[in-house]
Amino acid sequence: MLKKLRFQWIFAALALLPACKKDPKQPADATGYAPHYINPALLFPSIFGMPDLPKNNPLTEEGVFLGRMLFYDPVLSFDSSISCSSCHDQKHAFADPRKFSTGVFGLKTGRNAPPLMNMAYSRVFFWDARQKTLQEQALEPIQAHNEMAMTLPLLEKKLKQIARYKLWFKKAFNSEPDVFNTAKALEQFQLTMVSAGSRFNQFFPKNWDVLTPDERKGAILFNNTVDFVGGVATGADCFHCHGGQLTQQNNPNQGGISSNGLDSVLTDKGFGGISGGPLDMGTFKTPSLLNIALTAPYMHDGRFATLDEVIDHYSDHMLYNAPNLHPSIKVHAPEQIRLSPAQKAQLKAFLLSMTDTAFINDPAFGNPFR
Amino acid sequence: MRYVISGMALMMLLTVSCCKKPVEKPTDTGKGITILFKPMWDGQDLVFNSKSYTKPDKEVMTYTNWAWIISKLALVKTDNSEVLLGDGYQYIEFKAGRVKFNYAAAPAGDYKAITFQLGLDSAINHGDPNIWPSDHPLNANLTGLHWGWAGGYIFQAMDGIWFDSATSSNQKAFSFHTATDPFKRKFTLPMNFTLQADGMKTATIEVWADEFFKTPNSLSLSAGAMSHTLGSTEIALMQKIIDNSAEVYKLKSVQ
Repeated sequence: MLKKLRFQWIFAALALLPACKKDPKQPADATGYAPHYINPALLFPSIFGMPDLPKNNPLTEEGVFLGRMLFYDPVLSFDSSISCSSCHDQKHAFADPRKFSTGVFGLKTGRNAPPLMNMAYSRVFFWDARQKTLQEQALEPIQAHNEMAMTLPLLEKKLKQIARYKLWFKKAFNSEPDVFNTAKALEQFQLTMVSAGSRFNQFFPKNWDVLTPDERKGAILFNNTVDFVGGVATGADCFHCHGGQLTQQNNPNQGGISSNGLDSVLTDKGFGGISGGPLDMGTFKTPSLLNIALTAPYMHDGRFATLDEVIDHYSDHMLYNAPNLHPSIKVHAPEQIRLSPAQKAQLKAFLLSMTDTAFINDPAFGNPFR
Repeated sequence: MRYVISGMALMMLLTVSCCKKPVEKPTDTGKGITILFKPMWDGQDLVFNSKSYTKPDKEVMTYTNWAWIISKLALVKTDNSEVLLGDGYQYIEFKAGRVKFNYAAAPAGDYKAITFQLGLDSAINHGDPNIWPSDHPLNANLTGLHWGWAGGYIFQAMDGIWFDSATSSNQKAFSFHTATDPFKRKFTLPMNFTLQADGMKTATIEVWADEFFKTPNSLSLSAGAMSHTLGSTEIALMQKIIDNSAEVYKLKSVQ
């Protein structure tokens, strides 16, 4: 009898555990609304640390799935011809292989569509850093005349006419389809886009066995500050703006928004066009280098078609008179780094180790309508 | 009965351990002390990006960034014991306005100084930066000041542009970063003050940027505008920067 009683207590105690996983502030309500909350600790890898997630939009399985459907659904565009995925292709780490993307009616965008990954760690969005949350970001391409050209009232009207959205907005947010929760769902899906599976991520920072001999030499060039021994560069100082596991400086004031010496005369003000600050002119959000082999063409305007051109720029063609060139680069003026062909190949080899094939093939990020 | 009691204990233990409330962040309760770091140049608030400053050697500079990581931020009692504020770590980013920190739990009492260490002890400096919560001063993504590669944090980052003179149009850059274990430094700022149990005071620590280039080392940007950790020249400059920092921090008031 006592043994039986003992097990009853143990089962009762264990039964409490799953209940405790649910956020006590968000119980099921009278309508039966009970989304399945996602534990961020299980989503974000320890090698990246925990991001600062939006307080007003907890991740749920339903919200993420709704966001994924919206991301791939051309109904978000005015003529139902393109979706977010039209310009953010998973096979290219959600970048666009075209220099400029094509919106509705064949209109072209003004900048290259950036890759989407590890967005939970970003503190600014768009090349010109004009938005600070993914919720704010999400509604801009939908409304841009040269992208999806949609109006928000029309979007809401269209979504309300589609049965699956009536169902999934209810499941995710206990609401009818609306624009605000559209933004939240798109934010949730993008927050889950974690890319941490490259060999670079296994290497970082000191697991040298993961790399080939050439990649190791490239890693040293990447990480060393610029210096010369006998006229030969011993470092290319990539890490100041592309450091850490994320290969991305996310603090805007520490290089997260900067100029990398592309133009002496600006044709695109970048963040300066948003802030109006003279020292912000020609500065842009610093991108991650993860999956860089897949995200050509490069730079905000897609001017470089290949990684070789990118390396040549930093090695041989830095424009030290570019307005507001980042101090970490400008302090080396007027010296060009002038990597040798062998060093360039080593640096490129290292950059190629940053490809995460699992990420670009992960069905969790794929088109749910296929 | 023994099993019943142990079962109840197990149940209570699981309940408490998995459902306990998250740790609440300190809020401004009107008690304790607020530490305010105030960057200045020649008695005026330091302005980033849009204002130029002329050094004694006529070099003209504009700040675009200045941030620190400090540890062991504490109040010094009259018996020389130290009362840590929070966990003692703080990230100060002047340009972003992250300069004011409230410590409601600071106990009442008589104090004679405020102290902090610019930089981190070795174990923390070279520990895993990813263990810190997203809003902790040592979170690498928050600060952007973890080197990742070499291991360790940048303790201080000061960046900007400069010209040889007011008439020069040849824009250059400076980038003073201090880091590595030998370059942590503790500063103690003396002032007698009392914290009451039912009141809050604000300690204003002025940071005199112009002093950075004067004493004891006169720092000319034309002689060296970059300090990282590479080469003896940069190390020597880093040493001078740290030495000069002793004249930079001034505890202006506690009231």
